[in-house]
Amino acid sequence: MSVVLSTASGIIALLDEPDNDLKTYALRKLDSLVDQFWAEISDSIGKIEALYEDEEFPSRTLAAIVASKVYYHLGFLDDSLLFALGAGQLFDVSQRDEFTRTLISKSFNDYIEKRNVITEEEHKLKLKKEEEEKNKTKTIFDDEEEDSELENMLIDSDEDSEQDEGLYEAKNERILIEKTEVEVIDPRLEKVINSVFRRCFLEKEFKEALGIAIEARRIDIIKEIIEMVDKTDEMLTYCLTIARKYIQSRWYRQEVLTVLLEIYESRPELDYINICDILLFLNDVERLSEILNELILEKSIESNLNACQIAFDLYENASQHFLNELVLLLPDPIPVNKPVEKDGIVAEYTPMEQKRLEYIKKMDQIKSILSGKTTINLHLQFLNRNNKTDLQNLIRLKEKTDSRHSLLTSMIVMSHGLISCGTTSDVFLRENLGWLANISNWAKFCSTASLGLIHKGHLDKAFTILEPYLPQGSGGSSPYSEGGSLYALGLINTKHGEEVTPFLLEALKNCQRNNIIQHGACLGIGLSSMAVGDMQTYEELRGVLYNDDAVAGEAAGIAMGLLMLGTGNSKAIQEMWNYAHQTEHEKIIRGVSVGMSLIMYGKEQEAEGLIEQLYSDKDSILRYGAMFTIAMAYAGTSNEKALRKLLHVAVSDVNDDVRRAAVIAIGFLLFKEPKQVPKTLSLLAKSYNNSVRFGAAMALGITCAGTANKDALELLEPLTKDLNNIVRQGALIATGMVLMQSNEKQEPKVSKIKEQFYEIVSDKYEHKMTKMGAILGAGLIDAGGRNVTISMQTTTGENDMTAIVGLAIFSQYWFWHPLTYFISLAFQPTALIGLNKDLNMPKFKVKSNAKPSLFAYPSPLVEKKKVEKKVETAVLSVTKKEQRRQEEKAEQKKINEDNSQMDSEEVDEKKIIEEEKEKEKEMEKEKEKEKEKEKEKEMEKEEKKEVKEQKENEEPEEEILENPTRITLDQRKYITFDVDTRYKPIKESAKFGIVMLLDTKPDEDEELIEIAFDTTEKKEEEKEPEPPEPFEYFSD
Amino acid sequence: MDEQLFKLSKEFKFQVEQKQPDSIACKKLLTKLKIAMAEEGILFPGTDFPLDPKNIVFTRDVLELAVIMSVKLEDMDLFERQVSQVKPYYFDYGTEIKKSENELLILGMNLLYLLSLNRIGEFHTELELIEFESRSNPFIKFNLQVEELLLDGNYLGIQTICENPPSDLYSVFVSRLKLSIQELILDCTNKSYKSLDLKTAKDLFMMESIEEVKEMAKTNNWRIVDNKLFFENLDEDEEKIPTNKVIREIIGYAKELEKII
Repeated sequence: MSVVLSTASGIIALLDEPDNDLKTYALRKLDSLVDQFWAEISDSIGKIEALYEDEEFPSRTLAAIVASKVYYHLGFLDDSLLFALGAGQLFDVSQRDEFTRTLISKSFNDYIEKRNVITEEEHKLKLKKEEEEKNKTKTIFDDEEEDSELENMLIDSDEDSEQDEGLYEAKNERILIEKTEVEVIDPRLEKVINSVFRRCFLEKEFKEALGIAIEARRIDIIKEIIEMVDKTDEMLTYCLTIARKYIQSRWYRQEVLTVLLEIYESRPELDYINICDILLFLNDVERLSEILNELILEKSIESNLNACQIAFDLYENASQHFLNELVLLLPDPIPVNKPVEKDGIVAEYTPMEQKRLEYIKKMDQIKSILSGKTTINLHLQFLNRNNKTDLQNLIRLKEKTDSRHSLLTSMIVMSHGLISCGTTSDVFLRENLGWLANISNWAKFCSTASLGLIHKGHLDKAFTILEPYLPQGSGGSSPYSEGGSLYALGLINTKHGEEVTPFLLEALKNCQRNNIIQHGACLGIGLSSMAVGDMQTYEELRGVLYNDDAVAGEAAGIAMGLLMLGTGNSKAIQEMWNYAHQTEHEKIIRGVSVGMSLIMYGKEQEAEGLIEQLYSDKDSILRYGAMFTIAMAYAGTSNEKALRKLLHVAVSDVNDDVRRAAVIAIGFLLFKEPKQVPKTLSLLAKSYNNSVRFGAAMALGITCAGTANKDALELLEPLTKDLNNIVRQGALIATGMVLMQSNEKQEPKVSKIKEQFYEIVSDKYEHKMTKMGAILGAGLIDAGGRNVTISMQTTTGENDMTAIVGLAIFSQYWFWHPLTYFISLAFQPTALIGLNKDLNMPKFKVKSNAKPSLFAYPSPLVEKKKVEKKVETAVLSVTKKEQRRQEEKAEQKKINEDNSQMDSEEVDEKKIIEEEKEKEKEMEKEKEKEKEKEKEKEMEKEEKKEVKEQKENEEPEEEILENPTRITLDQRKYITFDVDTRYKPIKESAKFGIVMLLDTKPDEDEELIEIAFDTTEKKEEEKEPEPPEPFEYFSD
Repeated sequence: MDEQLFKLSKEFKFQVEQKQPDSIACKKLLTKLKIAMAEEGILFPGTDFPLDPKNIVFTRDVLELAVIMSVKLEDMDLFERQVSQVKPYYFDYGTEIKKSENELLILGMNLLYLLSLNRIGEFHTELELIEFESRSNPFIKFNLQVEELLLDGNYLGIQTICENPPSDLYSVFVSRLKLSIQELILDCTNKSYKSLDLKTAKDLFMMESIEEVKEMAKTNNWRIVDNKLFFENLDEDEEKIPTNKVIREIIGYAKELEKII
């Protein structure tokens, strides 16, 4: 006989029996029936609770578990957990049912929350104690320290930031302390958590346990797990990535990393690459320098390669400040005297000296890598070598653009700058000198600055290239081109301004307050001495700011921010804040508020005070700055609190600019998870407000750049047909960014969108704002010779400060077009460059396990009539070059004639003469070049043959790529190193970027890749492209 | 089954069937029995294994006796508890055993108990559980009639049919029912009249004598002047409309609406 119970009322009634045994019996029955009859039981929950609270009652825990289950069904998880904890043994964490699982996760949430609060409290107490102790010692030595303190403040900006920290934190701290009066964790909860950990260990769910342990801040457990697991390596790296990516609290992250470091160091075989990674995080310069030194001193090639790899990684990930300190700490070996020749016997170095020489060589190598020059040089070579620019598209756009329209013509030049960024190929400019000559005013500024973009990273040649435009002292050609060239100088020497900054400062002083030159110089200084924090330079810039000139002041504000980038310097903030309230120029206020946001880069909670201050201001431009401050301070952290604030502002502020900035800032916060962004922004992209829609498009562009993310494109597509011109502009630019480096195979829309750009530009009735977007979009989609992508993370997933800052300033282009160039700071060459121990590129192959067409360069645009005219790459046949040159000459002559006919006053004859001379020189070089060109031609033929052969066959499933090669973001996962028999990468996880290679056959001759282009050699005979001839301007 | 149990149940039955059962002895016995049954596993057994019909009948009989005992002892809390304990044996466990003779009697008493407390909603729920055919059974029919009269407000009618309850055991509930009707009437008169003369009041309240009315007046603090009963109209708090709260909320909503994109 089987029976289905329809009610538990009978059993519930038993609870009222006076006898305890009967009650226990009833409870046991209820425990088994509670999942079915919880609704009925909940009416009498009071009775059950009373039983639990009755100290005399023998089965209290039973009552507790029943009550817990009822509350669980009712959805009162807090109560449920409370009773479950009271149930002791009866709450069995090894159960797998819904109830237990829910409660365990609930208990973890509570536990983690409490642990976080408590550990933060503890940390603060600790800090306070330390500070008190410091103060104690300070009062003793007060008199002595006062003077030196002032000095310290000037020299060491880091100390300032610490003081700031105290200042801003103080407010938060008070609030926190009031809120949580020393909370104590229920020991029962602790017990449950520990038993869950045990269970995880038993069932070998180590990763889960590790994740929870990290979140709950249980360092003891973290240690235990890592020590327990056999495959510790996997666990360690897992822990490392989690700690770096997901721990938001700074000090705790450092604590975890310290633990990991200890573990790494206790290993018999030291994993230097990871150790150095952690040391970088912990900001431990001294240890790092020791390790590097050790590695160099060691004789094995492997450790030397390791040192180089570490240096490359450091350059990519560390801040400028950190690197400078590191270089200073590395020992400076005493040079070895040349052995003196005696009596005709060729003296040789003693073995000791030879060792020293070797050491010196290595040390220099490391230092040059750390200075970044090697990386920049390699990237430049890569971009130049693999340049796949398809200028046809741009030419098409140019033809459709009315040359009288200065905005659009300057956009074409900008677009060209982006396309050829870093390729050093300026064919287009040279071909269109006549057209360029029509450009005037700020457009001239832009076009001169675009040279800086084209030669970006060409450190050694910066002056040579720009010489004709730089201020000469004796009244140069035009302040616009002079200003532009200073800006260009900054763009070329971004972050490496040791040589150019003094020149720029000089130019700033000598320009007789010409605001255009000041503007260019300020931007240039900002770029070249980014994050240097030098107070003298700061004061120069401040001087410009205090002149209260709108044009120069804006640039000075931004430059001050760039100079003090990420230092959190409170003096600078204070001064800028004050000036923002004094001046009446909106441009200056904007420049200053953006500058302030840059100073707070990466400061997270420490910036909270400034954000609050800026956001509560009645001036909307300062509120705008507040949004960017959030973007900079929390860049890449996905901080929930900041995100909520941004979303709130995005829908509630009264000013459109502020709302737009808030939406863009969301992109800066979330860029580490590009897949999440379209979801977050989907509602905002449909907002009624134009600015919000524009902001959403921009945020999508900067976060999903180069990913060809389908969701993002889906959101952007309707925006490119928006009713509002500006929104269309933003959407077109963003589309260009998202589709960087993708071909038709990956994303079929690519060709359609390129066509759309063309149509928009050629449409007579389209608004010029939209056309501008289309031109820039077309530039971005093919940027950097199709070998770069926009990314705010380094290849290892760290915040790329330069890129973040670049994009932040780029987003100011809305107000000031020349700032568009800042986007080039975010261009990241997607290269795999293999290097041998001498930092040369050997012939080396990698395999890409995907169809070649999937990641091929987009095929060049072919138009029916213009096939012959097609300019595919920078490599041109000699005949064409000559032809062109003749044409140019004719043109030039014509212009000259015209000029003289028109009796125009301002033709700079000097320059013409110079040009002529240069051309003659060139003619001389022509012969040498011809030879080389022939060689190249042959090479090309061979290549073509290969291509043909490949096409004839069916498409293979894999592709062998030659060093150095382009590897797009998506392609990375297909890369393996198993084809090359000779070279092996020293760091196995590295599938992109600069990779040091271990030569397994060191005795054989190495086949090096002929460096097409050597910037280290300063002779002009190389086949590198010439700097463009200075073009003449008509003055208006 | 245990001998002990049988013995206990027999003793219990004997005790209950006394005219004036001994309250303490009975309750002690009942508890003992229940513990014994629980130990035996036959008190609300689990449903996952086949059940022995004999055991079910046994348990049911004991629980039925417990109900009857509670009525005899006029212990209403115990009655309610026992009824809810025995009910599963009628509806869940009882589906495949022979129906008990006492089933309708006990259910009928439960119905009347609910009516006497004016718990009409529960009354109907319980009624629905009883098979339709059983409604003609005098135990149930009686309750249906009472309920109908109660709804009509025909209190006199109730009085008349209550003179012949279907079982002696019903008398306990009938007197309770009368009391609750009286209360109902009192409640209404209190509101509908300012004063009443005592004789009318007696009839109206369905009371035996004027003395009773006077006593009632005393307990309720009513004044009696010249053979007239004056009701003290209590100042009832008129429910106020929470103006401020409503205004605040509406403004809040409006603000929220404005903020929505």
